[in-house]
Amino acid sequence: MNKAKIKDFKRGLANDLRGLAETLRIAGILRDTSPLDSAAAMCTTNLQREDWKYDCLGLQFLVSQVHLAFHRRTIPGNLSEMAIELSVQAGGKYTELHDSRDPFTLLEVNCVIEGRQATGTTYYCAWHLDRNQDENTEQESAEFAHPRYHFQFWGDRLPADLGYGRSLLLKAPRIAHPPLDAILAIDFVLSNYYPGVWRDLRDDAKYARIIQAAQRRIWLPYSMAAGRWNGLAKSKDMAWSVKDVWPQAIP
Amino acid sequence: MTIKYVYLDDGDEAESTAYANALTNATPDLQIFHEYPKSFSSQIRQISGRSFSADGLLLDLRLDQTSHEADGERVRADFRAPALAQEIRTRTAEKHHREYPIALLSFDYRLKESYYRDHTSHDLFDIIIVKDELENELIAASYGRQLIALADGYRDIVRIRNAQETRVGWFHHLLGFNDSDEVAFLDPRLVGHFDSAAIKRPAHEYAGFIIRHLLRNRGPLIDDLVLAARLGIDFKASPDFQEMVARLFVDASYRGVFQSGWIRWWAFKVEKTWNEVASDAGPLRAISAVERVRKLKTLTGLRGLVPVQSLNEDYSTRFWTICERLKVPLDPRDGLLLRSTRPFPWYSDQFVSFEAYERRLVDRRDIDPIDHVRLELMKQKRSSR
Repeated sequence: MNKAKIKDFKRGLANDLRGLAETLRIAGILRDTSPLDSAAAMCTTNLQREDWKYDCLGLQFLVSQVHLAFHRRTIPGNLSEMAIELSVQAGGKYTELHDSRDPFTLLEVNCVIEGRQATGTTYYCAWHLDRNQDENTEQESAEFAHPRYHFQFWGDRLPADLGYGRSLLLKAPRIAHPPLDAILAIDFVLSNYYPGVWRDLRDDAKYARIIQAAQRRIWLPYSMAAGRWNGLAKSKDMAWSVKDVWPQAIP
Repeated sequence: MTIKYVYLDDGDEAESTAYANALTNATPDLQIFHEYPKSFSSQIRQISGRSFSADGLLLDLRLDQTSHEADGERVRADFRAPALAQEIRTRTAEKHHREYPIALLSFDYRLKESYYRDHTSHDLFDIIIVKDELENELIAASYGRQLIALADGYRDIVRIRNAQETRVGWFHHLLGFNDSDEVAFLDPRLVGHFDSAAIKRPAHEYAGFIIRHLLRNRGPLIDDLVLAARLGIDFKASPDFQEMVARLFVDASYRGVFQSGWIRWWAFKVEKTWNEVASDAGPLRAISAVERVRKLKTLTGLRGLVPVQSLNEDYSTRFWTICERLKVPLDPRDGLLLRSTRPFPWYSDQFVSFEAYERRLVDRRDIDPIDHVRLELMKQKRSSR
């Protein structure tokens, strides 16, 4: 394993996290970029080891009145303010470009959105994206579909004493989705909650370069796994195939 | 080892000596020798030559108001402190001999009249000591420690700089690290700030950069107030705070130049230590003050650690910063962003609480426009109670 390449990989990841922080600060999207700065610093611990890990916790997005207007069709309605908080814990091993292996060994993305009415009542919306850590279960014999990376509605980081009205919250479905590290999770949030801003940022070369690098690193191997229809994969070097990604597939 | 400063002040000798004594009485190992200023050329000859043996220079701002006997004649200095400091710095930039710290010592009103209005002179002095504050022994002791730290630090900077064979790529030594990999956690723009220099810089440039952009500002380094906030501890009510920090976070302490004058910790290393010894409690940032302190007590066995309460019962206790006006812990999500110019990207954002605004400790114009709507919403919420 080339130690110089591992160092460069980790430093590059840290620089991308910092670069993203600065771009979003200038765009007026983030109130406090310290979670990204902490994550960048964490990437560079143990520079020579191939495994990497970072936490980007409590990243708060500013939702202006303009963006709030975009989400006017909320239930309940008449929100006077909204806050979005994103937390990402990610870890993996060093991978090279065009590496087909799963880039993560752990991934947890949590998003909590608070919407407040003028009366003071606060409502919550949450989703999270998880990695199925139970990789060793043969998908053939699994009792339910558990995609390697999946979205679930709701989450554990909400206050325990919320009332639920007549909502029914289930663990299922687990919706397959390409994994998101902190960089792609931020882009995901912007693409869903900040339409105009997201489009403008994509025109920013610095922003686009950071997103593109993350997608190459993370979505390329995922798409390669999704394209691997000829076998079931459970080998030790983390090779994975379509059934890991889309358990419903019959290859 | 005793540190000696020469102190130039045209004020009455008894008065000047009193100020010097306020500093030296509070600081063992510090000596300050008062002199009346001379004419510019005589003064420069004295303090920039190789014969100047003191460890630093302390200057009153207005040196030109009163004449005194000096070298057998009645002399009145014809310059103010910034002019003298500039000349010294220029000469040391030309040749790196006799590099030493220069501190400004003056009354608050004089600083407001003159120094604070002239931004061009703000890089000349390593610290500013406000005479009005010297009545407070704790503050005098703090300034005294800084004067000693400056003298030691300048010597270290000169020694380290002169020992380097290359002109760049060694700045991390000044921050207390031996290996460049050890500073990988820092913003590369910080570590590489001097790497575009064509020649090695004079000591006061490295010193000024470290003091102004690392030690004095929140960023990669944090002070005890922010450290306590991040650990969820009520600083004033926890007699075991220092002991706990000494036991658990000694590896996170800043060990670079000037460390004895500015007690700081590397913010990232505090988090890293937590992740190593307390990961079962959850990431520091994600848990409440009560949970943080519970874990710290378990780890150390110390009882005198009290979790800090938030300013307001609606606020979170996942403290990460402090209210800049009230100096109490604050979760940024509950705070208002302060308007600031950030000279460098590694500066942390600063926040104030709504309570500070209510008490008129901060004005609307001091709050970043990004948070003006939040400010209005907070006002409405409070008035509807």
